[in-house]
Amino acid sequence: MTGRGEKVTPVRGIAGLRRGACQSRPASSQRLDVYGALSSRPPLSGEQTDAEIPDFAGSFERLLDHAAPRGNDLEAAALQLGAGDRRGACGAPARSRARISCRLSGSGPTCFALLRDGG
Amino acid sequence: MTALRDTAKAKLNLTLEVLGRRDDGYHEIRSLVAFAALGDGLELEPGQDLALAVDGPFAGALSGDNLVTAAAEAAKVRGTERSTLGAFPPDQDFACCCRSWGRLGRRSRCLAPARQSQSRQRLTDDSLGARSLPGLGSDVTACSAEPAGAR
Repeated sequence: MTGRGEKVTPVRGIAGLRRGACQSRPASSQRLDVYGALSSRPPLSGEQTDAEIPDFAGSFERLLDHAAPRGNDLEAAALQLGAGDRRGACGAPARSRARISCRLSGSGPTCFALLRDGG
Repeated sequence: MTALRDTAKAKLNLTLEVLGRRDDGYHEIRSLVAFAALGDGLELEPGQDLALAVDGPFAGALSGDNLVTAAAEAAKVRGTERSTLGAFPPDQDFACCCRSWGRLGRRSRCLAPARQSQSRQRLTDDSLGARSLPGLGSDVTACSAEPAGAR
């Protein structure tokens, strides 16, 4: 399916989010503002190739291993536009046991942390 | 009379890489997303005019553009396939009522359950796929493809 050219590949066999914290507020920094802060990004060079989908073998831990070191390229721009209070509020309870420490989702109106089992 | 009722689970971008700016001004991104158990509620009610109502603690901040309205408007363009937006007769518009149920109140979450409900009615991608709703962005595509295991 394509809207603006999206390609979506479902990751099958993952049991789901077993531990999580999520906080959302209406977006005070709009998506276009966040992407506008990225306006210095260079134009794409050439045609993009499909991303290789990692084999998580149905393991949520492997999925987290993949996601944890990767960030959200929009986060810095969202923080500049005032999303920092959301991440701060989320980070305090999750800091000690979060597998992914508190991170903004997308352009910033939602923040989340994924916690270790038993945390 | 509520014809459709569902929950639009929150989409979380576990990763989000901005690959670059496209010629049309949009940015190409790569993201690994998951869906949380909580989300907004959506109710669709038949009616003569397209309308959207939002309630819940964040309703006051959710005025203006809304993906639910945008999707409904886009679907209306298809005319004869209007009835695919739920169990509505083809000669009738529908009113859409979105209720946030006091959880998230995110404006872009409300479209997903509509599309999931459509899927449950065995609608094909061709009848109301994201390709028929251009300009609605990647959230629509991702929510439409939500696999059971990622919920």
